[in-house]
Amino acid sequence: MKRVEGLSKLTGRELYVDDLPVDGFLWGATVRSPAARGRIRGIRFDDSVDWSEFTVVDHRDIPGTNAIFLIEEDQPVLAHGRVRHLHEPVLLLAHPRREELRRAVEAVHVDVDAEPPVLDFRLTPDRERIQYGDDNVLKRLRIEKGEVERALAQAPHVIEGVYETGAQEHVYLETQGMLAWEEDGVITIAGSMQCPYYIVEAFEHALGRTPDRIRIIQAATGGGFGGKEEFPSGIALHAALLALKAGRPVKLIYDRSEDLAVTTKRHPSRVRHRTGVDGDGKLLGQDIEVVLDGGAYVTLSPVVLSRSIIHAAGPYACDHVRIDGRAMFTNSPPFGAFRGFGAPQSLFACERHMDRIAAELGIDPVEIRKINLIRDGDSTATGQVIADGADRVQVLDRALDLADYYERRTAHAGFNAAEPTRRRGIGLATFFHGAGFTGSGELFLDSEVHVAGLPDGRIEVRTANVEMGQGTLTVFTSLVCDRLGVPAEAVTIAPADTSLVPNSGPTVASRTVMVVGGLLEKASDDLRTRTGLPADADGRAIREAIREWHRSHPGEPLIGKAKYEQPEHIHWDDETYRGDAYGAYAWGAYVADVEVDLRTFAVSVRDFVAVQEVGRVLHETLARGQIQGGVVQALGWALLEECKWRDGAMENAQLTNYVIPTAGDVPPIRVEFLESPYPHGARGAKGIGELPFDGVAPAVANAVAGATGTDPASVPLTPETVMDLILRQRPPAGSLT
Amino acid sequence: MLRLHPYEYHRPRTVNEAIALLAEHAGDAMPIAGGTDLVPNMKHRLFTPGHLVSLRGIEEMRGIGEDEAGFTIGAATSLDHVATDEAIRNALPSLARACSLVSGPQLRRMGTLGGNVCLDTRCTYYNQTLFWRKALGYCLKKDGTACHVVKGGTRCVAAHSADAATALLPLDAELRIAGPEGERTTPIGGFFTSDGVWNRRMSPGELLVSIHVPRQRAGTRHSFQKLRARDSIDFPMLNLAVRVDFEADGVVAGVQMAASAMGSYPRKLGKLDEGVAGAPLTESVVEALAREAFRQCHPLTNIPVDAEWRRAMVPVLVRRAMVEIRA
Repeated sequence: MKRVEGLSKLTGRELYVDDLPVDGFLWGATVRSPAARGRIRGIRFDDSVDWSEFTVVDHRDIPGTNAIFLIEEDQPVLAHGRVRHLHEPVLLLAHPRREELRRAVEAVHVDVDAEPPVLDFRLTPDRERIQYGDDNVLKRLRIEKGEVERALAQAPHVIEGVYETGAQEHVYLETQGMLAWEEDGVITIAGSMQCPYYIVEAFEHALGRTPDRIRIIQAATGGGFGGKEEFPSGIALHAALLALKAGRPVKLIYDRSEDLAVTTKRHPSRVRHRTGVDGDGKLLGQDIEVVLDGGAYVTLSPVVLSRSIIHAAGPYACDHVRIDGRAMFTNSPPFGAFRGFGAPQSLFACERHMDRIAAELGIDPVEIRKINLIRDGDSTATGQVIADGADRVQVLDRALDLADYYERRTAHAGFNAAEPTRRRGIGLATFFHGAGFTGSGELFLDSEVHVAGLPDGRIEVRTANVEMGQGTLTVFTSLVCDRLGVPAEAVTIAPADTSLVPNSGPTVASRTVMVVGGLLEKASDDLRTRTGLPADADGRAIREAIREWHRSHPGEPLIGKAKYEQPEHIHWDDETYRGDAYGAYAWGAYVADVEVDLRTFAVSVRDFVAVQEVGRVLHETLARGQIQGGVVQALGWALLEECKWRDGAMENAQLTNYVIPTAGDVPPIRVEFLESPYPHGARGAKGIGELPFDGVAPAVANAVAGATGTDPASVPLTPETVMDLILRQRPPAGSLT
Repeated sequence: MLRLHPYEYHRPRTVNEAIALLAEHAGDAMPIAGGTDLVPNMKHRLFTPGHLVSLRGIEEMRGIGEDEAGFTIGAATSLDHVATDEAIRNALPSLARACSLVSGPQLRRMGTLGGNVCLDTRCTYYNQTLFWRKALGYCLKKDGTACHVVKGGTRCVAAHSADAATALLPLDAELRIAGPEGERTTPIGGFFTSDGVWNRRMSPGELLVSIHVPRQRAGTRHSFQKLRARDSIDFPMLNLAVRVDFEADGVVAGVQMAASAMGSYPRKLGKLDEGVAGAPLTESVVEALAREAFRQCHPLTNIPVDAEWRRAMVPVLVRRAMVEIRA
């Protein structure tokens, strides 16, 4: 099936929020904190500006609670009294002309009595820097299985390692933006977002309104990657507050530099491993500590931490595991959702550590993984028994095969012996990604979808799940077409507008196809049943039955419905962190072939193989696109992308200095799928949106380790980092300079 | 997206008209050729001139002329034109190479050689949006009094980042500059100053009209090397232009090098001839030059790339240049 919105994107007809035609609107802008931490002493307005022309909003204009509703209510919509990170929103301005607005932003001065900030999440904060609880820990979580201390005490070998990863910016093509207006007492938003109903909830709290007076519409969205999960709630509130006060529509659109400097990023991490193994490399005990930088407010850090620790022990069977997780408060802009959601950080550490163990014991990195990979009947760190029929060893074997792993390893040894200035290496990672919300999260979401039969026999899909480039519209259309036997032109997807669609949950967590797609199949069945037809009815009969139903029920809606029901096999205990963390896992084995230039210390990836077991591939082109895109994005994290910080500000907040891979930096990426259908996913599918991010950085770092004989413990592996590794860990025979 | 401020756009047909427009709106006018550097800088509100004087319609500033003395390249000639011109590629390969390495293809079609010579300096604390610079309290180069690169520094050290300009140095290029007082010619060697705020010996009312590159003598070889993060696009993290003059018998008569993307002007390295002149360009001579270049080059933390690594790359670029020159 062709991509539903492909042509309108290709021809530029798709309307993103900045393109939406609206009369008589004002531009909005944000006045931000000039300090990372401190008390607001006052706000001064220069006389050079005629302030009567402007709409000015501060915390006093917030009708409800001054908090962006999420897990906690600690993050203010607009700072009041004190600021906790640089560039924190303090004041909002609106004006019909952007140039005047820009001058006005310059003419507002937020005076702050600065206080000592916390800028390094790895350090234990001293007393004057405590700002959350009594230890700056935003969230603490623990997983325990067996008796890890006893297992480590008895293990023949105990191997330790500390691994770190940096922040990463999403670099969605379209920056954050919202348009707000009030119409017949309903505050309405159109904008770039992943989760329309998150914004409804945020508005209920901060604007003190009931949901019937709130309408959120997703405009065409140019990429999200998690960056438009929680962050849009704040900017939507800002646009709404301005629109309500001005009594006119307000457009609030971030430019790229503002977006880079102030929006969420991937959580930086520090992960410590202490692992007991026997002489063959069998894991006897895993003691793991995961620490994340949460930034200045709680936001989603507790759930990012949750997914991070659940994935921290890797796709391996081990009887004794303890994982301690902490998300730390710092005076940085809050870190947030980003493809992988904590798992890439802990899996980088796990997979780098597996290679370190193999190197220390003199075991083949392939063999140590084969010995330990979960077999059906084994359990994960949370005690979830895996019995999905997938063969994880086969996934690994297929990747090795496709990559000519052993042949290349031999060839590289010859190359490295002959070449004075270049080194080649091949590295692998085996990993997994749980799809959908963690534990009882899906139950809590209580998602609902509608498939409506229209009077003319067309079928309309109504969900709150959005297209943001990943292919939701196309896959949803194809699922309903297949289920009802109707052609694509008979199916339309309703806009993700909360006045039209039920709450089917957020478009996150690799849940859209697997969970919501599954609900669409059920709702399609329900629609057919409501027309009185049996399961084997063909599409033509169903469309005729829909028209017939409307003839006999004039003016009434015909809606097939489905609500989420937890599959019976899922049991999760949120108190003990024991049980079935996810309904299904997708499994991956990735192989990277790299070359390191010993003169420039630059790493180039020569070839990349991505093999994964995903339940069922629903759309070959889109699925490959997801994998390849995820690999490229993760190659950026592994090799190029580095947020440089100074006093709590992102120093390289432009795309000239924060560099992401271009087409010229992308190696051949060879993708292959294995399929072992998941009975509770749409047509057997498991989620794959985030999976490809998890395996890339460790495969690349392991390849660099193999090529250079060093032991990289962090990403990104920029040339300066590799220089440091090579000169420090493996001094060259001749002097470099 | 980042937006431009309002301005008036002038389209003169001659250099004299352009000079007159710059004089008429002195203090509030800037020339614009390809705009590839100026437009982003205007979007960051580093410049907000009320008048832009376009050089695109001035015929005498475009094109490449060749005679016995050498090449005369109009300042408004695109970098892509210079990079792909057959005669330039044959006679001045290092210049063609440098032009071909500026940014990406689209920007080379718009950006000009003159624009590259007059390129504004870059710095972590300067090439930022207004709200970012405001939060930091601005800097020496723009609106502020403190330098964030050199603590307590009183002179701006923003990085000279022009590839083609660096390549022109050892080519002994001469710049023809027109102004209200008439025309003058200046060797590129004396054009740059160490003041990162405005690192050109040229007033805002003047225009670079053309660049003359003398014909290189038979025994002279050049190489241009650029260090950047990605091969497809990027500002330099380090630039090196190398010239070696050979005697008829193949021994070295002299060596010149210019390095940039370290401080606010392209730096000519000194004393490279010592112990080299009169000797053939052997491995050990190359190594001695690499060591000397390393000793003299000290990149500053004015761009967000590790200065120690950039310095370590100096000898690498010297070796690469010499491999090309010896080939």
